[in-house]
Amino acid sequence: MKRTLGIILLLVGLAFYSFGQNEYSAGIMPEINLNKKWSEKWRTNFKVESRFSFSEGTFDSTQNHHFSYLLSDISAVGSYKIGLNTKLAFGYLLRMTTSGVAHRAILQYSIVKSLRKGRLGNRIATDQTFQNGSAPQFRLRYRLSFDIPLQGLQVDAHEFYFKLSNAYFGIYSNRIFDLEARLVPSLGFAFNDTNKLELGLDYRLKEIFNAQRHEFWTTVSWFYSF
Amino acid sequence: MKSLLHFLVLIPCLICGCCCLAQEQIEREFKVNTSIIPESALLAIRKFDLKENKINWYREESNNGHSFEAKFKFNKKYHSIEFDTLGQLEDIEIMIPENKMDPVLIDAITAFIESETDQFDFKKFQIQYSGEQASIINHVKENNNQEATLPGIKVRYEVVVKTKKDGQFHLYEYTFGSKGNYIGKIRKSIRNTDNLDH
Repeated sequence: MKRTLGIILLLVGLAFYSFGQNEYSAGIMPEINLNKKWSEKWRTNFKVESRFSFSEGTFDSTQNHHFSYLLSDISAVGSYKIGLNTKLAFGYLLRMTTSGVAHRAILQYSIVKSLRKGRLGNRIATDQTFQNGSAPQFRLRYRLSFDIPLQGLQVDAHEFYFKLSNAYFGIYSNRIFDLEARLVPSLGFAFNDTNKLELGLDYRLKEIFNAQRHEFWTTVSWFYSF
Repeated sequence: MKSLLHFLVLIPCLICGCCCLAQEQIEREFKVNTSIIPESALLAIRKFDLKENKINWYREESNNGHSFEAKFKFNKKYHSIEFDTLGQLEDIEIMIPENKMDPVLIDAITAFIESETDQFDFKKFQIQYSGEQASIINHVKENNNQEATLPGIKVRYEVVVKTKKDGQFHLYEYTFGSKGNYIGKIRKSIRNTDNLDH
């Protein structure tokens, strides 16, 4: 037991030591997801997401703790069902930041597989972001997500569930290629199959090939389908 | 100040919205402790000689009432045994891999499903036993091949199938008799995947 604790403390210490001068930011990211079903095959996802920063700086020296609004995203993504749990989707995202507006085109393919207990979702997407005064940014992203009920074999009404998602991004902009990784563990509550609330921690490791920046977001996401 | 206002508007909207829209019929199963399981059901399960921590007990609730279900792995297969509230056995379901199913039976099932769909894919096979409690439990314990030979035991096969018909995708649970004769089918609801898609 003591040995295990020692190893954990050593690893945590090493992690912080290795972060060193790396920049970080932390905050909260509330998100509303409304999903409208038009027909058996067509749906649209409307999403509003905002980011508020609580703290930023470097791990070992400067740290500014203040509450500030960073940005809001508004998006609409239309999806077409090409299999029982397989969808092809395309959409547009408008990002409003304090320094201007960005436009993003999105194309994604997603497939969800039901397991004996829980579900496994795979998503491959590509997006292109355009903003005045900045070089266009092209991203190829893959996300693996998994949700598992905390009671029974499937998430029923009025039940909690655990969700874990892991995403990787290949980013190309201004002749520079970089990578980003995300890990998001969340606790969800299903009011029913079409109404879910998730509270999670979104860790993002950005600019892996360059400066390495760490972001920690508390996420509050509401999913409602109608 | 403006950022705080953004925050104060978005969070309550998010919480109020999901609570107000949360009215619907409830059907769920949840894990329960053995202390609330009828003694006769516990006695029936003890015949499988399994360690207690290898058995998961669930209470299944729906608008029609509730029942108890024991789920466990026995002889490398997932077993699910359902009891009524008095502890009387209702049925035993055993999950079977497609390659362990009798090929003659698979052919009969395939021929039937093929006749009413454009495209299909098997998702799950289960054998279901119902009838006299002691006979079924002995049969399941002793006969790993799931051959239904004993009298007094009703054997059915439940097959979950993903289908495509006229461009529409559906999930069905078909029920077949012991010889692969069609008994019925129910359309299963496809669970919402929005929180895994977006």
